[in-house]
Amino acid sequence: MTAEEPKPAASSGSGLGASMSRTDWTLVLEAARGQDQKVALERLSRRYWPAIYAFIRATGRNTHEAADLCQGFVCDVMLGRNIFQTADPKRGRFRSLLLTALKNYLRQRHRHDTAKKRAPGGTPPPLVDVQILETAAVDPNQTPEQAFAAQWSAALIRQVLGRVKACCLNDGLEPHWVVFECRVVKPMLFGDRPTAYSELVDSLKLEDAAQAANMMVTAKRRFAHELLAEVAGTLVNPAYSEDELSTLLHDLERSA
Amino acid sequence: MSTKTSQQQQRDRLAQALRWALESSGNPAMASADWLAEDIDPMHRSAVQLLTDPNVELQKLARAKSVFKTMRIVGETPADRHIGARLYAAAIAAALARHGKRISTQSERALRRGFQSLLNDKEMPKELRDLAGLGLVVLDNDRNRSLGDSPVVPAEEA
Repeated sequence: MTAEEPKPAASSGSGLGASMSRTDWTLVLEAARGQDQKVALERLSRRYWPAIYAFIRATGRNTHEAADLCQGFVCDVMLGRNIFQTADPKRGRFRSLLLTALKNYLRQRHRHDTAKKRAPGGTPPPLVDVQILETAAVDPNQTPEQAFAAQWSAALIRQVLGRVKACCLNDGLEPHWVVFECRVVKPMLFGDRPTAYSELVDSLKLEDAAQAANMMVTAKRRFAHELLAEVAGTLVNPAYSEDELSTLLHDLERSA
Repeated sequence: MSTKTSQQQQRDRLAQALRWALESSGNPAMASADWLAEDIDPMHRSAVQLLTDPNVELQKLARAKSVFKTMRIVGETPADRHIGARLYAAAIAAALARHGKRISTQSERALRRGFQSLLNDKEMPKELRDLAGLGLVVLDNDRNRSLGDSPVVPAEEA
């Protein structure tokens, strides 16, 4: 590797966070027929709970109906029927697969809106607290697709942040992560004010604000690199990851 | 005037995070420089914007000089260090041209070398290279003034 080339993601070679770095399609295939079927199914379910829930809420259902339908979709379709057994990576984006399955499920439920016993054989993942979901969820001006895109993006970003943090800690870049977290992540996720550089310089015993700023950028670049890799994992052809990211961005900005 | 809801603000922030990945995939070194510039002044989305803004405060140029100087030394790749060196020179040139102040302790010779390298670097944006040209003119004028001659070309007209 020449020095010009970007460094590979630390997670790809270090073994750290190996379970976290599996792509969506890898998880899907494991969920369909792998040895860790149950684990893979639960991981997929947990990962996309908020996006599924947001979509259903944006169709006009109230909190409890949406939570119930969300639980139903996860248990009946994702775990019970294991839709992933018929999933074919050649068919394209995992996001589209999930969204189509969800729309079909809601249509069926609308037609046969009678109570059913759920989840033959599958153990439902623990329900996410509805109140927590509500804080991230529904804007009345959003279409269900837009709500889904927003929550999908949020889930994607949370996953990637977790992985970047693990990589930074593993590679001895904990101060880089701390600066990134205090200057970028917390303001981004929670709207916090960025911590002053003078404070970070003191607490991390750095030379000056310029050093801290460059450390922030190092971590931010890792985040950007990992985000592209994560998006690539939801696609058949990773070469289209920038396309997918642009589409996601478009959906998100359209809803803003 | 409509104000954004907290959900809209949250979506804006998520969109911004997605945009970082796109920005970085094209030219990672320049993207890093742009993030440093935006960190100094969120009103400027790129290093070029920040350094070529005629109204930018001297204090911000001094901070830009400092972060790009560090980037020049600790940048992860040669491309980072190269961009860092060019933008370091550009920040000093901007302070000279816009505020008539030297924000560097480097010798005139070293400054000239830095400005000239930026001016000659065809891979750098034209606005930055023009800035280097302005910096050289200011140095020429300063030298002539110290020798008792009148300026060759006023900086504003260069």
